[in-house]
Amino acid sequence: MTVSSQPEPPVFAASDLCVSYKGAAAERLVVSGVTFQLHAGRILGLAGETGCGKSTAALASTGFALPGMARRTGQALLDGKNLLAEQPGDLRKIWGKDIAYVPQQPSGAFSPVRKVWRQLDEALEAHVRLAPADRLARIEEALASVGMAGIDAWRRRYPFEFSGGQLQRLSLAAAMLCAPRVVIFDEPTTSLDPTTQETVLAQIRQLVARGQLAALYISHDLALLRALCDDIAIMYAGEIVEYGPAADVTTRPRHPYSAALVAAVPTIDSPSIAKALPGEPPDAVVAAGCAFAARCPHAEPRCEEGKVWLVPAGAVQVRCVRAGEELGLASPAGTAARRADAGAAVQRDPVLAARDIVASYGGQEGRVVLNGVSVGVAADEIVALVGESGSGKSTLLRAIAGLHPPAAGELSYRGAALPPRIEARTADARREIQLVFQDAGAALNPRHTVGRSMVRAITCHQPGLTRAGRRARARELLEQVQLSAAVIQAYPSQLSGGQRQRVNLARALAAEPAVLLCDEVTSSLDVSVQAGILSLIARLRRERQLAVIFVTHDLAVVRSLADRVIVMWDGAIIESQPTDALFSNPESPQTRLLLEAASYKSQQAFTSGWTALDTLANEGLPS
Amino acid sequence: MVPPLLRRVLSYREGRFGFALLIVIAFIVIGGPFIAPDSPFATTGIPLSGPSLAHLLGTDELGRDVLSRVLAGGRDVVLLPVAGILGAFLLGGVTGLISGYGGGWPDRVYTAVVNVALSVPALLVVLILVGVGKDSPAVIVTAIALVYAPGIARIVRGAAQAAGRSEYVDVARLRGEGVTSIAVREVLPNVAGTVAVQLALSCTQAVLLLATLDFLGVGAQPPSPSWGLMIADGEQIVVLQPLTLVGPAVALMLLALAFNLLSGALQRAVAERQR
Amino acid sequence: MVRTTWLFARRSIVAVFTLLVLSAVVYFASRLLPANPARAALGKTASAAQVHRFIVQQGLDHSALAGYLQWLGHVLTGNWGTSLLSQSPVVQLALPRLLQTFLLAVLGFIVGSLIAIPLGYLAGARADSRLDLAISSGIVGLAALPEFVVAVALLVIFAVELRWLPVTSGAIESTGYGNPLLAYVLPAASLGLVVVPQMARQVRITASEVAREQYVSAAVLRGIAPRRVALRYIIPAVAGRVVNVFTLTLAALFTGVVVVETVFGYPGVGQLLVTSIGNNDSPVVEFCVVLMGTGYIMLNLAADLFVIALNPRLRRTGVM
Repeated sequence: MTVSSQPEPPVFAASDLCVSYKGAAAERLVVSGVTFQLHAGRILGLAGETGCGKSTAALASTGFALPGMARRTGQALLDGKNLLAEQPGDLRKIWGKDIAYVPQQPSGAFSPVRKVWRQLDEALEAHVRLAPADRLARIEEALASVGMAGIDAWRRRYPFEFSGGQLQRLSLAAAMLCAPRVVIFDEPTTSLDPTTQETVLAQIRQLVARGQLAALYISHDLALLRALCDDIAIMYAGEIVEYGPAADVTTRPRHPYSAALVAAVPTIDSPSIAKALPGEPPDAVVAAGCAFAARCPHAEPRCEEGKVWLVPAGAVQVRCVRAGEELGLASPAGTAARRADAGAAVQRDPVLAARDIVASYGGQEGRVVLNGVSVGVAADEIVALVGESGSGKSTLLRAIAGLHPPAAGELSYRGAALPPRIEARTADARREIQLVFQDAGAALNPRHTVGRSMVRAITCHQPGLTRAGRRARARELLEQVQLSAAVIQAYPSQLSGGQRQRVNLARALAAEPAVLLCDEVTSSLDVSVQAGILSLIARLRRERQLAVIFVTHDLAVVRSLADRVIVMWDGAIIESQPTDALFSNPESPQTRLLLEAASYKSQQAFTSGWTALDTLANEGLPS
Repeated sequence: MVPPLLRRVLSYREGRFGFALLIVIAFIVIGGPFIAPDSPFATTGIPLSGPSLAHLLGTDELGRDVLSRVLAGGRDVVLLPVAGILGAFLLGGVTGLISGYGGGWPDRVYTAVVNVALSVPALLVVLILVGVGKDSPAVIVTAIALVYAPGIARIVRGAAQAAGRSEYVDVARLRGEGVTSIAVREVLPNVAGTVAVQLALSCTQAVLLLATLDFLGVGAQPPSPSWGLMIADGEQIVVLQPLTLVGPAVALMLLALAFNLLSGALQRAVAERQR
Repeated sequence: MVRTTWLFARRSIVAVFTLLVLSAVVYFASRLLPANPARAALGKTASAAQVHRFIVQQGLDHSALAGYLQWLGHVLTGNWGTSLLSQSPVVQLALPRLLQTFLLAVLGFIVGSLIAIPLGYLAGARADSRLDLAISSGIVGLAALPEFVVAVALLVIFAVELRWLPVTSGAIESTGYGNPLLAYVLPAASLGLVVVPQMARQVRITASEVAREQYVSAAVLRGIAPRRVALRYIIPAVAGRVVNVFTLTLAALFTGVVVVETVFGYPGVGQLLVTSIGNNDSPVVEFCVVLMGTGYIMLNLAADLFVIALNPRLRRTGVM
């Protein structure tokens, strides 16, 4: 069964791939019935959220034996050979030469204790018989093709002597060394800054076009896949649920999950909050019926029985019992409340303000991270603090919170001076200003149950309650963040990322705060979960007239959430405007750069593609 | 906090085995002298005779019942080292917790001191202390406490420092909680697992160290029924009456095995709990 | 290069400081622990004159600190006093034995490494397999045996029962078995077995961690042969991390040396130390302890430097 619409035969074709892992009691099926084709010069995007099995499926299709893997069935044909049936010795000749793999973390591509050039040389030597001088020439060619030519003393350097973006391009070079025909990219840009990401993606586009590579690109970022790929396959609970041309899958989805995923992506050109998807995905393949039925708004009793197959529906293939019907899925935008209207661009008096903050790390000879920064937030207002890593936004937030006393500058709260150190502040000030951390798991004591953590906070801020009263209050707070009281007995390790972040918010609410400081609270969450946290914050702000400072590197999130946006770069504020104004009329060049790097998350890019990427890829790239 | 950990340890085969062995050893150590047929010092039998009904493991070169001596010898072998380790914990564990969590320059000084103390070879220090102070229990316990305290201090300090840097401690600080409250409520539960593992490991080492001292003739002196000493004596007459050697050797090995298995199971339990 | 020198200098200073601490412990222990150090050293039969001479010689008539400094002065100029038992200079007694002990330690380490490293690596690279289970169980069993039990067991089996090898190594030059080298076999083997559990465990854990690193799979997926991956990617990373644990092995080695020398009558410093303790021969005891302590600290320093040499990040930037 072919799923693609291309006339030429595919270079690489995986059919009916199933992978199971060894479990404590029995085997766990994590990938089932995965089928895809890769064609020369085209990129297939493999989309899905954490745990859906996309990395596993891709790696398994190369014949690689994953640690802990119990069984693997199916076929993966390359040049008529089934990689899953080949001997290890023959597979080795194919890996690196015909098929290449680019890992996710830049640090995961090279051994940290050996020089990079040696490792590149080895990768080349494994497949070609050339004199050392010729090998060096080939390597330099590969480096030039990823824009890494002319770095001084590159042959003497170890991995830690390159930046993340450079390492990722070196990883690309390593993959390209033997001119492979198939390349698998495993989320290589996830840990990079948006601007660096743009460059690396353009590089990838160029390489695929020039080398006529058949590429598979794995990512959880659906908007990115729409911008980069020709076709997209969406995975859920170990199965492909929709497969087709990128534009069709994202603008006219036929599967409720695809539609929900698209609806959950925040965009820079739409002011409505992305829609959340309630519930959690299963962590293994579901045996009977549709895996998504439990969360599907269009589910019927027949969805839970029998096996659901991939069937054609319009321009795509979809795994849905109701594939033939019109479910009205193709209008993802505008489904949730618009944010409280930013017509109030009126400058109200700030309830919390920071003036001329200077902060550094590492004592006297340390790095200066903030260079005289001033910021303020009023009640019933959400201010977004945006910037790339190293811009100082998190440091500023921690300084305001009292965890990182600044070297210079003043803080004020409700008109009175606010001591820079948390220990010196009044109990009221401590209570009314609450900080929520990015890593929800790290913010909860792993040895305390959720209930215990909640009760600690409640006892601290509401000392007068009885034991029963505290427990009731805990339940009440958890309800406000849409968590059932059952989590009270759970330990943080037993909860999902989204649930942990909600617990953190509930704990912050226990204090009845006036100011909420959010430090990249959604950055490590899947997009469907992120949408839920964002609407929660928006709702809380409305109900309680909160003043919120929201730190993030993701501009798209900001569009639907914030009233005002402050852009930081390299320790200073470079722009500060009401949201709509900033997006339609950015003033500083760095803001424009950031907007361009984020422009793939827009309704426009979904509809007609990411023009910025095409331009960058075609016109050549800086090193 | 303890029962779930114990339950987890017992869920592993090695944990169950080790625990069972430990019960047996504890029985021998504590109840041994009471159930022994003879006094460990009484020469009731013909010297160097083999196993018989009156003397299940035979007699040694002075006619003393081997079984009774093995049953009596456990006390010396186990109690003193365990007491020493508890002392090491009080000394190293408490200071390590405070220093690791507190940080700052006192912590740097503390770390330097601990590192120097660790560089001094343990056995040599114990040998000189016990060699000069002879086998007074006070000296032995103090020697063991001093020698193992730095290792424990380093590990506890590391765990306390890691816990102290984590965000949930920041959350507590933001609530205005004091240093003691945070150390006890937030940091200690996260350090307890590591401490338990270290306790088990150190006890194993200390017991074996003391047995070694006895064997070398530096610790317990005759006619003490210490197992190490018995093995040293038994070595001389092994051809004539091997049980004088094998008896205490097996007992010692079972003890060490019990501690080893338990520490291993404990280590695994703590590691899995963190996930 | 400058950074490396600075690291080296720092470590050396700490090592010297540690030596001073050790020497202080030795001196103060000898002096403060027994109720009457002179009596304890010389025994009940010594005359008052002898006791008095001893007191002056050891500086016991001064305060503790002054005594220590005097003793330190003597020590640094090579004056270690004379053995109370044999009346010969301590240095003459102990130094020749140093070579023998060193030899034994090296042999023991080699034997131990030859067994532990391959076993540990195999167990770790194939973690959780049946091979791993077998090897790990063997290690746990061996770890449960105290050093002297291992030594005595080997002695009883090979020397006493089977009579393949000599019982003692005392008169190494004339064992009567024809080949003096045989005298080294059992002691080295015992010592080697003693350090195997520690080393094997550490190698195993490190190997299994490194084998799971992403860059190892990345290398495999580039088609590099498994042997090359093991040799160039896994083993260097394992070596870098394992050397850190070298210190623990060193401690086990030193304890083991003392025990093995005693069991086999091997003419090294350890045996001298133990017999001198039994004879209350404190000058000899002090010297032996300081000698062995110095060796231990120096070897630790060497291990530290080795770690620095193996870790490029540490070399180039001075931090991990």
